[in-house]
This record gives sequence, structure tokens and C-alpha cells, in this order.
Amino acid sequence: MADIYLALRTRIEDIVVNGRGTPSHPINAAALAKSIPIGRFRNAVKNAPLDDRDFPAGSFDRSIRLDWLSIEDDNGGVNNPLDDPHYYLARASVSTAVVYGPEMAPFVDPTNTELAVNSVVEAQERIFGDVHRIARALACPDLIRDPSDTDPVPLSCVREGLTTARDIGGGRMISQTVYSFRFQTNNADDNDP
Amino acid sequence: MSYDALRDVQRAAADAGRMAADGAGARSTSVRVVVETYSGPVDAPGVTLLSTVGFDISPRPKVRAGGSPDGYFGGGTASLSSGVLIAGQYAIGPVTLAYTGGGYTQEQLAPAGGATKRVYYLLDGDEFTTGGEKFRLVDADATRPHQMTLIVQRTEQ
Repeated sequence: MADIYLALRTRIEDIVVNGRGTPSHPINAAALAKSIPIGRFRNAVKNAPLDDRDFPAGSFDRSIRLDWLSIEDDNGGVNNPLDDPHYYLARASVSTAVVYGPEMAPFVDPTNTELAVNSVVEAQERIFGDVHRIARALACPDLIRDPSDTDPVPLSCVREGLTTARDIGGGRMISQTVYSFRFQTNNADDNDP
Repeated sequence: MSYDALRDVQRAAADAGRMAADGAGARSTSVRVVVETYSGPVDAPGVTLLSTVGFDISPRPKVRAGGSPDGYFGGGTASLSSGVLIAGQYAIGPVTLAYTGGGYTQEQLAPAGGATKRVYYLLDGDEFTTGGEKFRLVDADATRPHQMTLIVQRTEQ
């Protein structure tokens, strides 16, 4: 695999957005309880920042955005060039979004049991509930790993530190959670994109 | 003459003037109001486009630049020229409000949005990229008795 981070992003988005591990996308024929149904979350439209004031209202609720923040070696501080594989620890921010306010009900993307009219006054409960669900799914080893992975190979993904939520005005709220994402790469690959 | 009839006469007269301007070729930009309806939340995986309905505002309204804020969804002709992502704002109108035989209602000109809808205005003409550029509604001024003006801003294409 040439583009490491694209492959890793694809795995995270498969879990959060595309229903990896659900009955329609089982892993080793098994549906996993911690998986997230397809369509529960959506990628930010055109990868736009969630706090961009021009972000379309109809695409906002339960949008997510992934940002790579940092990368470090995860092999005792040094990856010996003769070793294979190499281990790394990347940090990624996963942001989520909800709308709220009495006039925003048409723009809510309710789940099975949610009612838009109630959801618009439960922004914090919704956004932290969404974060809880995402964190649980990303931390599930059976979801983040895949026996067919070769290069790169995702190994683990855990939340690091606090999840924070902030009101960006206009009936919009976003959360940010940093995850530590451990993976290995094949030292023989030139990783040239 | 009833108030309703008087209103119809006044709006028809205003619209006749706007038709004359359009007929004389003074309105180089066409404006199309489009509502796309999806099977679920817009941009969610697996969601499909169920229907697209739209209409061209007729006669063609006046379209004039009203602002040039930078924005993630900027671009178009301004970007091609300068490389700066300008999410241009434009004022569309005045458009004659509905009367017997013509005009438009507020609901037609500014359809309600939603999580399963994408509402946009397609501006096509000299100042815009061939095939039209999409704009979203920023404001709709219907405070005048017989006309409405829309303020739109460039959005995702």
C-alpha cells in the first residue's frame, strides 16, 4: 500500500460511516455489537471543516471529520531500519456535529428512537452519545483490525484524553476527540504515494 | 376594484416591465431554483437521489454582486482568475410575487430545506462557470408588497 494515511483513514471511515461489522458488512461472517449502522454518520461534505460557517445545514447533523494531528515512532523510540515491520503511533482528531435549536428540527438526522423535535434541545446529550458510540467502535479490536491487512496494518485505536464539545453558534455544536492510532508498516515498501 | 384585483394589476404591471427587460436581453444570467430530495440524510452512505425538481425564474431577474467573502466553498470564475476562494454573494431580484397569470410565491422562491433535501440556486450566464454554479440561500427579503429579493452565496458544487 503506497498511501499509508489514506488506507488508515479508509478503515476509520469504514467503521464510523460505512457500517463495518454490521449485518450488511460482517467481518468473518459475524456482525459485531459495537459496530455502527451504515448511514448513522456521514463524512463532512467535500471534507469541509465542520466549523466553517458556510457548511450546508442539510449536511451538518452527524457529520464527522478526521484530521491527522501527529505521528511518532512506536518501537522504543527508534525504528531500526533493518527491522521489519515498523511500528507507529498516529494521533487523529475525529470531530462530530449536531444541530440544535427550535427552528432546526428539519435539519436533524434522527436515529431510530430519536424525535427531531426533542433532539433539538438535547444537543449535548446527542453529541456525547455519538462520541461514546464512535469511541467504543474504534476501540473494538475486531473492527479496527482485519486479517487481510498487509501494509499498513492497523493495530489499535483508543481515545486519548478528553472529548470536548463547543458551540460554534447558529444552532451548531461540534465535538473533538483525539485518538491514538497504532499501526505497522512493511519496511520493504517504499511508501511512495 | 377589490384589493386582490388591485394587487394583481400592480404585480402584472411590474412583471411586464421585467419581461421587457428580459426580452431586450438586459438579463444575462439565468436563475434556476432546484430542490433535490434524497432517500435519507444528504451525503450519507447508501442514500440515493429520489427526485430533482426545479424551475427557471421567468422573466430572468436582475442578478448583481453583493459581497465577496472568502470561504471553503468559494471558487468559480473568481477563483479561476485569482486563485482566491471567494464565496461570492449575489442579490437576485426583484422577482414579482404571485398574481393571477404569473409571478412566484415565497414558498416557490425559497423552498424549505431539510436533512433529506438539498436546495440550491443554479446561476448560469456570463459571470458564472459554464453549466452554472450552485448557490445557497442566505436571505430572502419579501418586505416589499409585490416583489421579493433573494440573497445567495456560493456553496458546494
